[in-house]
Amino acid sequence: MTRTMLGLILAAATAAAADLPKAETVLDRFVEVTGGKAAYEAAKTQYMRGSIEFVGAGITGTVTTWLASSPNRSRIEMELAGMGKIDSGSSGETAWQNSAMQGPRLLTGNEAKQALRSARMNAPLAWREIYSAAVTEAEEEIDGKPCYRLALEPKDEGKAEKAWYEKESGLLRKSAMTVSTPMGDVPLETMVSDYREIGGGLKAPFSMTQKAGPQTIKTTIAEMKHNPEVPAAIFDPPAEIQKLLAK
Amino acid sequence: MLARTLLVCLLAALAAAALDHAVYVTSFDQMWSRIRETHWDPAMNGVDWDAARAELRPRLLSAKTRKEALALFADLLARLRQSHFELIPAEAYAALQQDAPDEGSPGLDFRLLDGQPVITRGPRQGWTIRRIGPDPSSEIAAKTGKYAWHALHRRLRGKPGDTLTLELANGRQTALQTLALQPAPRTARFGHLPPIPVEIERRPLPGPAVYLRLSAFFEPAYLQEEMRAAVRDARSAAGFVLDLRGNPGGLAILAPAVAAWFLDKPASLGAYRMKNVTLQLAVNPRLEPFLGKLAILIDRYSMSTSEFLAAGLKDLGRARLFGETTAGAALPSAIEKLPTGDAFQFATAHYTSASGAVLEGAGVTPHVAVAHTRTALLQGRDLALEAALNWIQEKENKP
Repeated sequence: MTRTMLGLILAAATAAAADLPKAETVLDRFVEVTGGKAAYEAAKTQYMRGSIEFVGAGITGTVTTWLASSPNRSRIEMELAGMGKIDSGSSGETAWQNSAMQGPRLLTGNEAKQALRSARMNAPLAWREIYSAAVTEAEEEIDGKPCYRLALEPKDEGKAEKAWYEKESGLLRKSAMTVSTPMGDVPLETMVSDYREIGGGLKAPFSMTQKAGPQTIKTTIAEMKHNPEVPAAIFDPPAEIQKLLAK
Repeated sequence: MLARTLLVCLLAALAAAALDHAVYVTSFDQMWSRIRETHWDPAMNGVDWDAARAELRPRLLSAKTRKEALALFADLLARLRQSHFELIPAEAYAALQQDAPDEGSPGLDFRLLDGQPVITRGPRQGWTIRRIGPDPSSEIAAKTGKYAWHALHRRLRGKPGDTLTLELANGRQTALQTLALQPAPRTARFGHLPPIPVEIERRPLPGPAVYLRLSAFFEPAYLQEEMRAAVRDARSAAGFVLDLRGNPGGLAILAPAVAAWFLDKPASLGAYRMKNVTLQLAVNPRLEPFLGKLAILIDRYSMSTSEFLAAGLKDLGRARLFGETTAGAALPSAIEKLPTGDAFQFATAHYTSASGAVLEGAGVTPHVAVAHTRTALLQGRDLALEAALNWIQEKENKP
């Protein structure tokens, strides 16, 4: 009897899994609903500025980022009240950070891999290069909306990620990953919303709420520019980082 | 009589109306939930948290005054019997925010010796402060208690440019000392904390050595600028004296940031255990650190981030500690505002030093126990600093 019940349950689960779309369908659909392959391929640079709030803690700040492709480069400048400037960047091969709190440092190990991955222009289009495996695991509700939950295995490091894509719109609504930091690994959940046109037919979320440990951090984008002129010098690391690179 | 009774009833009704119970209950619930969701210990330090709520919440609903309501808030926090669980009433906030732009210091410091405030730094070292200002009622009685020093410290501050007259005594005579209040080099504004003056004192010492006193761990850019200058000055020095006496802490991440100037290899000053994650206070060494003898001065008013730094460098065998056992208030924390306008501080992690020692309630023990004495202070001596300099001048190199 128990064996029969178990068989029925397994059969039901298999049937349910079979109803789920393949992960590649979900990921490719996200590319389509946010602009399409051609629009992503035409994107060469990006500029963004916004505000940051440590919810409930009374800490606010600003963030400005520049991205460029071929090769992938990034520069992120964050200014937090009471903490000062946190400057970081990547060249496609190396990633660095410089702040009054931690001093200048070159990122290593998984922290560097994650920084390089997140700095990648047009990452949604390149998911096949980024992940070695992608599986649709379940259908779950996020904020009352049915979503597909995907498990993603990055090629360059072993920490699996999860992502929730809305069934109806195809848009990414939530992601969960373990972030490597010099202080240790930190689970990070990110909710994204408020998708808007940013030019060139592309759409991007203008609101992001992240939960790391006891802290919730809300980022609101004020402006995002598609293919702006970005002076190459923006991506030059500051002198203290250059000293480390030369060491 | 009837009119009087009606008036009393009306006033009572108004007083009750003034206390918006819904707001106080919402605030209580926020505090209770936030602590439950962030406290690292599933057993809540032995406190039945649900029972505390069940007992205090109904009492809050029948509280008649704001004072009564706040006492219940404070009661909830006190039950944990841990540092960094404090209520900051809105009134205190308002006063501190208002005073902050006028934050001026008389350029002296004191410690309570036998309950009496004795000047440890500044003019007339070793003299006892008997009165602040001309008002006869401002005579200072013997002070004891956890926050006695902090409370008195605050009374010595005021608007920059104003003068402060102190009545001092040295056992044989009394004197009036008038001091001009100077603005703090920096005032930290961080989150929901009231503005905090930040002073960094840097000077050469015989030895030769470099002396650096940090009043608090805020204003990272200013701190790093001074650290860089101090380490540059120390290039040809035999030692470095880092004075953390009276330092109440600040941003925890600045403990490894300061340690980075004294280590040449990555290290950890200890670990934070939060509810779902453990983080290391990881040190990212500077390119050109000071690797000579490092003495750290601590006392019973060195707290939190001061304790992380002192304990971490002690455990790593990098520093020799002089002074008194620290406060043992060593839990990383956050501050949140409540709908009532009050704020509450709550610890979010348990800290253990690199050797696994728990500092909360125990403090950091110095290698060399030495405290101020009135006699030595009157002779212009600082016994902990002297002990540190003697060690720096010794040939023995071990901390």
